[in-house]
Amino acid sequence: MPYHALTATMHSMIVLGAVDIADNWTTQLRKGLLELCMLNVIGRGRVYGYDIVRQLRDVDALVVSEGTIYPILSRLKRDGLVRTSLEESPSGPARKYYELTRRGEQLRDDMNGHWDLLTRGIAVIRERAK
Amino acid sequence: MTTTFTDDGRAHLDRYLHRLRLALSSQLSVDVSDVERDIISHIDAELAGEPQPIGAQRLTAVLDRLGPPDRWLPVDDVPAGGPAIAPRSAAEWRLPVVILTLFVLGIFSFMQMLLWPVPLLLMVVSVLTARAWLSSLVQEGGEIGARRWFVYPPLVTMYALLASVVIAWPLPLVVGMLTDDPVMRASMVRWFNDRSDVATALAAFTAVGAWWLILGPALYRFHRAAGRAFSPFADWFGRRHALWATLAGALLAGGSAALLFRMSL
Repeated sequence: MPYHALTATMHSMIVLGAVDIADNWTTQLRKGLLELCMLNVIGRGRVYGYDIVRQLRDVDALVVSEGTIYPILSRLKRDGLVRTSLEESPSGPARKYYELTRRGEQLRDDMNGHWDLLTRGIAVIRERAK
Repeated sequence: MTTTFTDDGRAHLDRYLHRLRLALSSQLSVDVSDVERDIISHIDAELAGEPQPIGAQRLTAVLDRLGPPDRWLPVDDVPAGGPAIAPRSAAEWRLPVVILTLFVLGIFSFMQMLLWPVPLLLMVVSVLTARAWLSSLVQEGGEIGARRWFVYPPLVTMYALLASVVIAWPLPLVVGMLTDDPVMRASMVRWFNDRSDVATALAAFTAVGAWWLILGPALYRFHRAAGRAFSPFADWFGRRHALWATLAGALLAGGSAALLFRMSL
């Protein structure tokens, strides 16, 4: 294989590898941040599941697929971080409302504190790198 | 559920919910029926106030935003190397395997010239099935993933054959006419002497260019149909590309005809 073709192939493999790593990183980050944002949205007061989606869809790049939110809500409920209650709706069937449990509030506060620490630290590092 | 659907809308929703159950069944920390109720409630809320019954097309817009369930962020730990993808069931592989098998059988029997025209029939059935399967996959909002290696080969092969016929059919026709017909061949030799082969090629290129001059405007008018004919590989085809085809035709026909004229002097 000619030298140029070989180096071009290696370059493509490196670039594709970097894309895979970036995709994985983005997925992990989005998952963590989505939980943080969901806890904060629910933490404002009792909220209907669909309203959580509506509030989060405004954040660019956070919610790629809106359906993602519902399995996470189910997991939060199983872990005792949120509780649900059904309430009659004038426009249709009963709606399921979510609210934070005491444990959920504690986790939200911990996560918010950790997030603030991280963003401040990262900002300093990025500033130094300039 | 308060929303009412047309038959195709209801069928579309049922397929989506089936896909959801399949995708989430592997996630132990999720109550699948709970999520399914939430999704139905979400769809109800999205479509509230819209004229009923809801058809598949309107429903698709909502389901597209929800995203394919097997691409939702995994709730359990993300395995190293990327997001978890719910394992596809054997049923999801069945049709792609049938499509490739039909195609390989078609190619094999074509090469052996067995039971003509069965080989052609096998290949055509394979391509039509592949197209129908892809279209249903898109409607369900599914991901093709590795199944592309089973479905794309028949499409690529048949599309390449079809495209070469559509683009270059005048080439063999003109070359055949100018070389096989003794009268035409004698005339070519008389006009161009020992350069009659080059002149034949130039005449064929002129014909191809002239054909592109006709084809280009037709593609301009029917660019969407052209894109659909070669779907999913030519969905990008637009008027701009039809104009380029026309321009290329003008250059090829004009250039070849000018050279031919020069040679005849």
